[in-house]
Amino acid sequence: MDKILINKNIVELNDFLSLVNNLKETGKYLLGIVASDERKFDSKFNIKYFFGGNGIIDEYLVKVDEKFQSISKICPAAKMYEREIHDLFGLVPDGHPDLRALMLYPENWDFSVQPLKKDYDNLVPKVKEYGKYKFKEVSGEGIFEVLVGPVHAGIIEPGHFRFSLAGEPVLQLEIRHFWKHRGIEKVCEGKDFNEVMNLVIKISGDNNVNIAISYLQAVESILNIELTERAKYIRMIYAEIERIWNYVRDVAWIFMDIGFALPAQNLFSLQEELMRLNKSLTGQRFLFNSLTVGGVNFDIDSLKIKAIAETIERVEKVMKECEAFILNSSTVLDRLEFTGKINKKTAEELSLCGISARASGLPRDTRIEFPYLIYGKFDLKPVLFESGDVFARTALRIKEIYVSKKIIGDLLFNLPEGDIIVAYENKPEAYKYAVGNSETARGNAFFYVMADDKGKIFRLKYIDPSFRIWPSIQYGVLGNIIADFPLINKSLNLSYSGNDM
Amino acid sequence: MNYNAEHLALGCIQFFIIVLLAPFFAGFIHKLKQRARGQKGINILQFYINFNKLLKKEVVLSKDATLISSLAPYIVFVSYLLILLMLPAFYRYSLLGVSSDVILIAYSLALATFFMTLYAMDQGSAFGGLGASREWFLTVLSEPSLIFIFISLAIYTKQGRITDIFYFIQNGAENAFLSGAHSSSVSIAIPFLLFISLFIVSISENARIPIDNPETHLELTMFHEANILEASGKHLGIYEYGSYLKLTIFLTIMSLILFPYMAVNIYQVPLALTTYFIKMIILCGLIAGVEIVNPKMRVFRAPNVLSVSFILSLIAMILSIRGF
Repeated sequence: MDKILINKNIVELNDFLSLVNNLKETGKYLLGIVASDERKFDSKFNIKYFFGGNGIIDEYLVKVDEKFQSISKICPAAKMYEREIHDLFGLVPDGHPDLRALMLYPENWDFSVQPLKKDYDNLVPKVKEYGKYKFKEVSGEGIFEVLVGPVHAGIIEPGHFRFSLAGEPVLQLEIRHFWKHRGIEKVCEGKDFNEVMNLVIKISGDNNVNIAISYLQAVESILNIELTERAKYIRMIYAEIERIWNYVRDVAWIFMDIGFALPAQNLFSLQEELMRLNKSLTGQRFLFNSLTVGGVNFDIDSLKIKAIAETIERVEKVMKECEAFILNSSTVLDRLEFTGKINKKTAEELSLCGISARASGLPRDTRIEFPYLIYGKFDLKPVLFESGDVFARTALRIKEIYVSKKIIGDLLFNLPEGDIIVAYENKPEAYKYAVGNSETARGNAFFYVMADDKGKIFRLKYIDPSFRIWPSIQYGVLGNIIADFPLINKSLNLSYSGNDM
Repeated sequence: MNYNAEHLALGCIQFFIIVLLAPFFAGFIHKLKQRARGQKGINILQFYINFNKLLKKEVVLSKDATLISSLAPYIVFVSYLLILLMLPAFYRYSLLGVSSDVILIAYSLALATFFMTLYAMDQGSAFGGLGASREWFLTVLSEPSLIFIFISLAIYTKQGRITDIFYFIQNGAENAFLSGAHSSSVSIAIPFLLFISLFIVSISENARIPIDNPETHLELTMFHEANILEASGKHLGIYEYGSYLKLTIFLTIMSLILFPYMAVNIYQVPLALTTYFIKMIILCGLIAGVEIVNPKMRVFRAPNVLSVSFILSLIAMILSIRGF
């Protein structure tokens, strides 16, 4: 079992602000805020704050009735979490600068109905207009607004982007997301751990293996399941293959967005090769259903080892060519460099993770900070870029493909014998909870799972990297022209569905 | 110049052939690009099929739209048709050859752009305004080059009509070729400079990479497409056909500068038509080649490229004034 060091604390509301301030000064950053309706046995709502850093996760528990202290002013990353809690639990963060509805749209949802409360009757309130959503206003001579979405010209998920422009330069971008809230967290309640796997892999399909690893980490920790070595190795192999195909696709789309279809198509065909490899490994192009509680569903035999080794060898070769191509092409560099710069300070304040953080010089990589599976055995160093622009994010992806290739190579070479799955009949202790934490191709996937007294799920909370990173685009586009927005957006390549559970 | 039945008939044939070929050239460029990227590629007649499909669809107009929105597509289309009536693509006596003044051609193009951008703004969508301002940003920069190109041709040949201009060049080249000696009446530098200058203008005016990307679905990066984003059904079909016509106009003028060969009677028509077709295919290949090896450049880099075009046309003009 992968042990995550958790330092549990219960704090009083009064001194919480100064505590958060201290945490920030010691280099800790917000991993997530999880609220849970525990009135049944605790007569209060519990809000747990998870801060990470220095290899330890600090948990702070605050018990609240109706109101809680907002920490957004000193920790801007908390803003979205607090709005979410306000929406779904009806708890009011005191002193929050912006308490507009986040997920439950006042245009069609009655705000007095809060679905994550345990006394919610699972009924959708009558669809009618209950209120209006107010967008920020920018005014002045020659300033106009361009509204994009939620329905886009291409096949993209829904998201509303509101640009205030003075000519081409962007003065302000306001994002409104959560158009297709699925209520996954609510649906999961009362289901057993295996059943929920099917939902977990569909949170954000292209990252499903890494997200599932995070979920399983939490679940297996609750159930006290110890994986076999071979299962750990195979999970990591799938995880790294997923990372590679994600990165290959991301780089291809960056070429596509600068209107350079020739290299893009080359990479798309490479992506196709990887997806066919996925299919030959698990019968599924997206590696769905490859993992299960207690192990993995598909073993890797010597033929598969050969196939994987050959494919990743080819990937490295193509990516090396691609890297040289980018570095030697002034026209490509001209589009990528200095575009969509996210400053290190912004990245810190918003607790960014994954590619977005590392491209801005923050060494945040869950595989290194909180090693899980057997990442601890590898001497991994975070790949860092300082410039925080589109070029940094592109180059970072290419460099990390080499790292992943090396990891897979080592894993394949040292693959231990043994079973790939352990049988278990463990029942969880009542109301035991655990967290899972893994690195997806976008960033840190964080799971909070709590069992109830019947061994089912009492509360499940997932925090997608996209949820943390989306607000950063609003800062990344400043100083850029609107025509470069699609490129900036693509360089972060965030998930709408992971963001909006 | 006396017009007779032969002129009229061949002029009509010339006009219809160019108009009907226009979607083919656009489709051919698209197909070339796709094949170069290793894709299977569209049906080469796909743009005809699209046009046919769009004509059958209903037009949806914004509730803010005025009469302009209903008229603009036709005005744009007719402007391009008007220019095609003047162009001597492979037959010297085009239908409107008598009034094919180069300034008229340049400003018919501008008229089309004007109404297209009016249409964009009339629909009241935010992209329309954005697209319109970008379109003019490019047009304003490429218009001087276009005018200079035409004027240097006019000065060089001392002719005002586009039919006469190219006939003069053709004659000069023929004479020089037949006399076998180096003839001082033919300039190589001027057409060469004008060709490159016009090529750059064509790329910009026809929304091609590296200035614009005709294939993109990203609203925010569009130049030309953002203007017609609100167009639907028949209007969209007409706009798209219009853009093929515009491309054909530019390619045809380039083909005439590259190698003017126009039939003067019915017996030369087959050879002239074949030559025209081959020239157009080569030019399509050239455009596709540029689009394949370049990414789209930053919006505000476009003036740099267009200024190169302007300088080249300026040099050509100085050369033609000095009598090279």
